[in-house]
Order: sequence, then structure tokens, then C-alpha cells
Amino acid sequence: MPGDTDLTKYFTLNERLIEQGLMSEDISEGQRFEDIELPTPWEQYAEVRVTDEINELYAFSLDDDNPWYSGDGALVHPIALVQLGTRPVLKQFPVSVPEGESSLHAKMEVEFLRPAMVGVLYREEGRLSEKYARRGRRYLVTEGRFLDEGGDEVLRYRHVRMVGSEPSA
Amino acid sequence: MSAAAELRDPALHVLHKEILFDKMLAFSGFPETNSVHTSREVAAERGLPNAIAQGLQMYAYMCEWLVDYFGKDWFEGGTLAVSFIGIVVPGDHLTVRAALKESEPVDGGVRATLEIWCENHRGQKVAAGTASAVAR
Repeated sequence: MPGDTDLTKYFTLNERLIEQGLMSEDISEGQRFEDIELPTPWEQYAEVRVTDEINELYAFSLDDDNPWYSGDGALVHPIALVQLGTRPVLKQFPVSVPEGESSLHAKMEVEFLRPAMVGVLYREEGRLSEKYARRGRRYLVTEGRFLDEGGDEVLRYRHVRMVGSEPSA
Repeated sequence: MSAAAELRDPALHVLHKEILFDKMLAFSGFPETNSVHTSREVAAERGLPNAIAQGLQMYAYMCEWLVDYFGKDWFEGGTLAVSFIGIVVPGDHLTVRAALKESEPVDGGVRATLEIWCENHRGQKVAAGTASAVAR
């Protein structure tokens, strides 16, 4: 078990990531599902530079001690861009969730196209691409892609969230 | 993975994880407490039995399994599509497992497609999907 000092370090980092808009929750107020127009154009919503400190947060919280994520030439932990990248895009497209219900992450698809490296600045573009209803529930699809400084794609994702039940007929 | 790209039997590789609330908090953005991942009170208000782990936490465990299996090849063209189908709460013990779905020779190696899932200690799948990468 970690001591309090360890946790304080990670919580302090989380505060900074929240301030940067890269980590936060609860997007349950916004546009009505019916009113959402799709697809939105691809736009840049974030720049993310994963540091040793961020990789350490994932090593700790996930119990993943792979040495490839630390030291010289460290790779970015595979979940880092995925987690830190989805929030800035989702925040652009808030949708109302029925009272008493939660927005839930239903599905995640990622293509890891090339290794992302610690210390490198990656630009993220995103869009809201799709909405649908299935088995009485409503879903929104957000897509994102990270590009390196040369404009090459490093990672691409498709995030599906369930945003509540369909209204009763 | 060797150049001969002999695929190991994925069934032989198993990853175990214990879900601890402290680590959920670190992963999911505490001290922000307005989410079902970082506050037991918010979770209860929304009808959940406890704070629940983010789906991406299971996704990360599955990535760890895939990095262990494919090595650095995973970072160059690996894909993972996962549905989150069950809730995970502190105290759960999770296991990531996979099975070979298909394999085909490609330039420089073998593209392997796996069924991959994460199950809890009650044997219930909480996340499941498909992964693919070239083993070189």
C-alpha cells in the first residue's frame, strides 16, 4: 500500500491535469440529444505532452511497472493519450442526461499507429461523428486523433458513450 | 516476438489485478469528486452500489496484457476495440485473458487477431473485445 505522501503527489498532479482540462468528469448537462447535428468538423481541441510524472501516475495507479515507460527514450504509457485526450473533446459536446441517470463509457476503439514518446508535444483533433439509439438507450460517438509535430498520426480513437434512456413513447 | 513470428498461445498468458479505491482515485482524477469513479456518495446518488472503476482502467489492463504479448510491435499498428459490459468496484479481483481468433501471414510477420476480455473474481466478464497486431 502506498503511503499518504505518494497519494498526495498523484492527487496534486491530477489537480494540474484538471486545470489543463485534461482530466475531469461529469458532462451531464448540455444540448438535447435530439438537437445534436452531425458530424461536426475536425478541430484541434488539445495539445498533450506526457511527462515522466504522468507516466509514473499510470505506473502507480495501474500497477504497471513496465520499464519502457521510464528513463531515457521512454514510451508514453498506452492509456495516457487515450485518457487525457478524450476529455478535452468530450467537453466540447456536452449532452443532457435524464435525471437520475449517468453518462457511461460504453465502448472504446483505439489504433496505436506509432510509438508516442515522453516529452513530445502531440496535437489532438476531434469531432462528434455519430449518434444512435439501441435497445432503448442513446449513444454518442466521438472520434479523436493525435498528430506529432510533423503532422503524422500517432493514435486514433473512437469513443462511444451511453447518454441515457430513450424517452418513453 | 521473434522474427519467425511463432505466435505464443495467448491462453498461457494471464494478467491479474486487484482493484483498490486509492488507485481508482489516482487514475480517475481525484481530488475532483463529482464523478461515480471518485466519490462513493455520487455513485450512491446514481443508484450504484459503490464507486465504480473507469472503463479505461480495464482498457489499460488489456493494453498491458497486449504489450506483454506483442512487445513493442504493439505500438506500431496495434488495435483494441472494447465494450464495457459490467461494473467494477473496489475489492474486485480482475483477470485479463485472450484467445486467438485468427492469424494471417503479412509482410514481415503474422497479423494476429485475438478475442480479449477482462473478468472479475465471480467469473463475470466486465469488458470484452477484439485486438489485433502484427507479431514480427
